[in-house]
Amino acid sequence: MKKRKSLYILIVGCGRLGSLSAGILSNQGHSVVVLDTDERNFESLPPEFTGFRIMGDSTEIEVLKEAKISKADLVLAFTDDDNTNYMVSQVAKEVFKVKHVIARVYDPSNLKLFHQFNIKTITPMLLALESLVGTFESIMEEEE
Amino acid sequence: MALFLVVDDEQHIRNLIKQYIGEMGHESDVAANGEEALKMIFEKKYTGMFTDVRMPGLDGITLLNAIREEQFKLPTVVVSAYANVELVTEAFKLGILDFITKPFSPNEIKAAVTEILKQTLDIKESSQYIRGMIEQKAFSQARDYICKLFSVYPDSPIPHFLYAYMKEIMGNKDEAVKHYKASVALDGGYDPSKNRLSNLEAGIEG
Repeated sequence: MKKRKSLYILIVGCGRLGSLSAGILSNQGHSVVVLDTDERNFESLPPEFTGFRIMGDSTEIEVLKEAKISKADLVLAFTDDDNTNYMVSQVAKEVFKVKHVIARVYDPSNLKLFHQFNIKTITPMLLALESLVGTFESIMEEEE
Repeated sequence: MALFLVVDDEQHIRNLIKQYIGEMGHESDVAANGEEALKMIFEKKYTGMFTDVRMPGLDGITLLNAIREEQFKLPTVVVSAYANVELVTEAFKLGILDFITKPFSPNEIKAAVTEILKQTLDIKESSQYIRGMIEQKAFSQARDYICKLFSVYPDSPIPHFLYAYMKEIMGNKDEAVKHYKASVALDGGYDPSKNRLSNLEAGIEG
């Protein structure tokens, strides 16, 4: 199997999704930087996280520069606020020309806006619905 | 395959740098502080070193000073989260090749490995390598390597020979003659320059 290239990944927002992603990705050997406004959120990083922590406001360009966003192969905008995620994604794509950007979107009505700018998205509610539909289908098969 | 020394008090940083060096097909030893590193430098020959600055015990700057005092030639790249002007200046005064700030990307470390390898290329081996580049018309890449050779081996006839050879292949015979002559001036017994110079001059006169 071809050996995978190590990437430079910036994760904005160190909540549950951000911290778990950081652990998985750094465990795979990527160089991962986690950025959050609240230092206490870094406590949720799992032991397998071997990357860098930066405390700061991701809506400030200087903070993103400190995290070397322009060198990032992938940016994950995973804060708990759609507006922040949109702004970070847009800046990553348009200003710093980051090749891959994935944003977490809470409100499905915002999805169109993200997709217009070619930003890949993860929407927890839609994922839950997909899972529910799958489970429902298997229940129906059992009942038939 | 080259052997590097990675010095950092944080284990995960040591592991990351070691991993990226490994991805380039090279090996590395690790040390958690300056004392450990210094001991290892006395025991083994390393191609290059990556070191942090702030470490408990012997810090990076003291380590660089100690290496300098012992007159070891060890191309070094500093990797640090602290990059104030004074620190960076002090490190460069101690002869480091590059200063990488944390967080770093895999590509930054890999580019630094390439820089270290460029510095430590044996002049005869690298001259063959650069001749190959020139013959393949990779001029800008060849020029970079020749500039490095000029800075590392200013008294050798080889960098002038390579520069002249590149100019000759590019069709600039006047520049080529000038540098072949400079090469011969540095070492009158350096046959490759003498031979090409006499061919060129015969060609120009003819």
